[in-house]
Amino acid sequence: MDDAATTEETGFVVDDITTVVKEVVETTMGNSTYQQSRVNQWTSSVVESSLSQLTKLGKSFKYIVTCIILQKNGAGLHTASSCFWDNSTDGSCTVRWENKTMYCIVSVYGLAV
Amino acid sequence: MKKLTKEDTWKTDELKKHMRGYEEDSIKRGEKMRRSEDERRHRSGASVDRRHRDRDGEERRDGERLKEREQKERTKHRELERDKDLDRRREDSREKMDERNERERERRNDREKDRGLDTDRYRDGERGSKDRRYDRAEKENREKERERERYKETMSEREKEKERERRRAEKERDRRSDRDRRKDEDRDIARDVAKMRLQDGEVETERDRRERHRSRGYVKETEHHREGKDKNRERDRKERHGDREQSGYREGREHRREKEEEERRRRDRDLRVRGGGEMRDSERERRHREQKGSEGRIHGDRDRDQERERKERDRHREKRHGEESDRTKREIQNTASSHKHRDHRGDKEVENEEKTSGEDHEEVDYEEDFEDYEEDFEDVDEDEHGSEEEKEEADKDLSPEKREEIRAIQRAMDEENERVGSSQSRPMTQESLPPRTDTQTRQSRPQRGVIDFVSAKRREVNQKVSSRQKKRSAELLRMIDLDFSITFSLLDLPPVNEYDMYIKSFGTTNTRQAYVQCNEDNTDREVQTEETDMSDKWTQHPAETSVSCGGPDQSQNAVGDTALRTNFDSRRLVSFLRSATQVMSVLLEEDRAEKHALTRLKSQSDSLSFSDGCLQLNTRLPFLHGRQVSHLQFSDAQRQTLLSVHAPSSMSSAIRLDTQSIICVWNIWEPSRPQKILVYESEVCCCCFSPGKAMLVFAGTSVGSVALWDLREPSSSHYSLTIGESDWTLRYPTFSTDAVLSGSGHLSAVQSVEPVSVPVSEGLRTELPLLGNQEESLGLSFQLASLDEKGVLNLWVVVELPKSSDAGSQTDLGLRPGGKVKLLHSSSLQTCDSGSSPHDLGHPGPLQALLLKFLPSDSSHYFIGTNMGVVNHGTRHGLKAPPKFYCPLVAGFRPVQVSSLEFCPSGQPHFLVGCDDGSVRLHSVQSEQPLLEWTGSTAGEEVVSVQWALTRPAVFCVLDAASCLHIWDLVEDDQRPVLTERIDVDRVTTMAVFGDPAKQNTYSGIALAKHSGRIEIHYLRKRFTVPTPADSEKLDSLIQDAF
Repeated sequence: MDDAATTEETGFVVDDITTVVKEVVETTMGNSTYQQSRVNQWTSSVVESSLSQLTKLGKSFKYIVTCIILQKNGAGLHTASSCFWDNSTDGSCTVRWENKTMYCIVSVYGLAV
Repeated sequence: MKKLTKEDTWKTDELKKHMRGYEEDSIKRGEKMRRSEDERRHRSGASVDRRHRDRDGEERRDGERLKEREQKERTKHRELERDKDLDRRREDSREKMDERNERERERRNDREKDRGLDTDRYRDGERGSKDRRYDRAEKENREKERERERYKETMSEREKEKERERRRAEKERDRRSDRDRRKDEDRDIARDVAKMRLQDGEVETERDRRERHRSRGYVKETEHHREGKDKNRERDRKERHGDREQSGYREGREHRREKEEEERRRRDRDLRVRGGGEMRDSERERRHREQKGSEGRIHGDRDRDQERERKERDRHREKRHGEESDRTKREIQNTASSHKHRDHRGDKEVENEEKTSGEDHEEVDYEEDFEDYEEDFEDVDEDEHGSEEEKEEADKDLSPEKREEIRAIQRAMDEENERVGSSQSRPMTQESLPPRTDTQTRQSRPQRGVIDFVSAKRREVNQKVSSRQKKRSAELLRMIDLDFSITFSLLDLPPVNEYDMYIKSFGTTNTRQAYVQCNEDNTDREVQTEETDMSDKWTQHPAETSVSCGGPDQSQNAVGDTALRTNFDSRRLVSFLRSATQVMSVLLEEDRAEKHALTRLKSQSDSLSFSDGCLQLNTRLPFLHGRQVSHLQFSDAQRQTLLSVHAPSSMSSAIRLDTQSIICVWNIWEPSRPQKILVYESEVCCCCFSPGKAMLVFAGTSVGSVALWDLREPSSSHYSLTIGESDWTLRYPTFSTDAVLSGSGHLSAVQSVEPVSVPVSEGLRTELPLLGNQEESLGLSFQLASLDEKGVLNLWVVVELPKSSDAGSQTDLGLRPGGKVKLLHSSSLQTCDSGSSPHDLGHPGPLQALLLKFLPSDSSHYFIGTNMGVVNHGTRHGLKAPPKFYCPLVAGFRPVQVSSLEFCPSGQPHFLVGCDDGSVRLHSVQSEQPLLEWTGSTAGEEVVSVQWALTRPAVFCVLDAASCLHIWDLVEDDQRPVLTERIDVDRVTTMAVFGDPAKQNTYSGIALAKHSGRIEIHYLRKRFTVPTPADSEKLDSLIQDAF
């Protein structure tokens, strides 16, 4: 209990961040269908509002947020990332969201200050 | 945890039952059981060395139990106790074999919770090692049987050492229990299980719990520090080293663990180390053992081991004296402890002992469970508190002196504890709690321990990390500013549209796109521009009507108008053609006339000495036949235009124009026919052109009327007469003053008409700026003067009407219908009325005016030739001019008619006067007397006409009635004419000189009207036409001579 609490205070809690990001993505894109002209707007909006929501959590982290929007047409996507950091404090979290026409993949990296 | 607890509880109950039974039975069954216990111990996977030793001990005990009992009570006692313990343990372990499985499972669950998958691996490893160990145990068992035989021989020697070891082990156990107790004291929470502990099976329960706890802790430890395999290996190795070493080693490990887990313990240890001065003496021995025992232990471990061992040994030494009895007694006590503790529940000491016995069991169990490290853990406490226990034991069993010692030690230990306690508030308070609470805490201790061990470390680590992190971040965030970086696009890959995809795949093949279309003409083409608007337009210059351009629409709208216009246009066309044909005919006739003249010139050059050539105007026209030319007049402006007045014919002819006068307008370049034919009812006495352009012809008639012809009128509006093959247009006057203006008109025949103030030449204009200049520019606004025989001079204003009226005019009755020009009577002068001066001079009668001339330079001055040989001079406005008369040299009036009066065309104020007495005078306007007077030049013949040559001021021609033409050149000879030509054939009736004084070309000539009615035009020779400076000089000299 105690350690959970302390972790919650300072640590990188994947569940919380996943919730935040999912909410943001849902509000940003919702049921919209894929439109190439709007993708830029979506990505920047997702990234920015995710970041602002994350900073509102008030944890001492530096954040890196990336967003990938991919049209759902059967194409494959492979991404990988690697970090050199302090495992006890830093963390990452990837949220995969999808609707009928597209995927949205948001990766959040939290680096303790 | 709770689940575990419940299960534990449940098991504990069961265990308790079992335990009770076994404990009761254990003493009876002691010996029997010992064997199996041994076996089990072997099987349980104890390490080779350890087992060896333990078993040595056991075997010895087993085999020589009776003997030993006799020999050494202590040993036997211990054995007994041990047997009992073992029995119990055997029972336990049998049960536990089952229970353990269960517990194992539960533990695993717990572990899984904590560690996840690692547990499985670990478990597997554990199991594997367990099995291996079992196998090994069997083998070793056999070996040990043999060894046991050997052992018996060396027994006596070894006995002591083993005794010592055993003693120490016991001490350790005591210490362990003691430590346990303390640990228990630490616990805050009392568990439900606490009550159970009071019962029989509580030892087991507790132990079980502890076991579990330890195993878990152990697991944790190993997990943290080593892999499962490593751990097993290591443990095996360690076990091989033997109990003592093992314990030492374990202690070291324990110590390390302690450091990490609980500060208190560490401090205790520190204190111990610090206060270890008493233990110095055992230093050597420790080293000795160390050399013996330690193989590859790490230094830290060794140090700790050394310390611990040193302490232990100290204690050993201290107690060595009463060791035998002490131990024996304690063992006996231990044997009875289970019963005893039931009676004295609250007693701490008993509990300790009980625990110690429990610890014994535990030790075995751990070995079986491979939870050896926990023993080490206990050992530490035993290190600390062994002395206490020993003391307590000693109190009971040993001699007073020993007891004293022990007490001293106990006191020291207590002091230590006190110090430790003071350093930590919590443990101290708990320690101060009543035993009851102690019990409870102790009871819950193992359970609590499970939580503690699992979470404490983690919590601590987490706390440490998080606090550090917090601190660090707080400090750092003060110094740095995090910022939202600009979002940037890592990659933007828009979807490929279908056509591009197709082309991509298409382009990889060896193909090409092409198209073909048949019926190429059918391709549609789109044009963006709108179709050009087109319309027909026409234009013409000069504009025939007001419309100079138009289109098809206009023509459709105004068909009627165009029809009308066509008529009108035709009339205009006719006029245009007329003028155009006139020009053309002039050109043609010029050509012809020149050719003709050349031929004629040769023929007639002999006859006329002055003539350079001659041409004849075609006067052989039917209506001119038989008419005599009474007058010839050239226009001043258009020098080639000639008026010829044909008097009414005396002979009757078919044409009814006989009684009428005819005026022909000729262009001398077009001699074939007259341009215009003007007709008047009565005889025309005089005529003249309008100044400027010759478009008006004025005529004075014998009936006293002044007629006016407008030559611009179209021929169509005049009477046309067809004579022979040609049409002739006979023009009647546009305006006539006949009878209309009788009141203001002439009552006698008009002798002369003259335009007033018409600037003839540039010289005049410059000399006398006249009104006529402006009038000329205005076109027709000039005056006309007419003089009748009575000397009445009428002045008329020529007015051009702005608009002609074909219907005629009501007011202007003299105006011909369609005419546009009329004369308005302006003023009337009586020039030759009975003046005083003529009367003074004895004038016989009223003067008859015959000729009228105006001074070219000043039109207000008029000169009138009279029938008395004088020329009257007057002004129109009644002003008096100095010479009133210009008289011949011979003074007095004579009835001599002035037949001719001509001003010098060069602008000089000279004029010639010809009289019918044959005299010719040259007058200056300033002098009454003539400059020169030639009286006999014509041999008394009447002078008909006197004409200045227009190009030479000093040359003039005189025609007399005898048809002699005299040409005077004043420069050459001022007394007689230089040339006189007599034309006998067809006498010359009148003549006129033409030429342009301004141009002074060769076209200066003389027109002669013959009696037959022919008109000849002769070009003067160059000697008479080429001007010389001497001409004007001569005239000037003549004037100077005159004055």
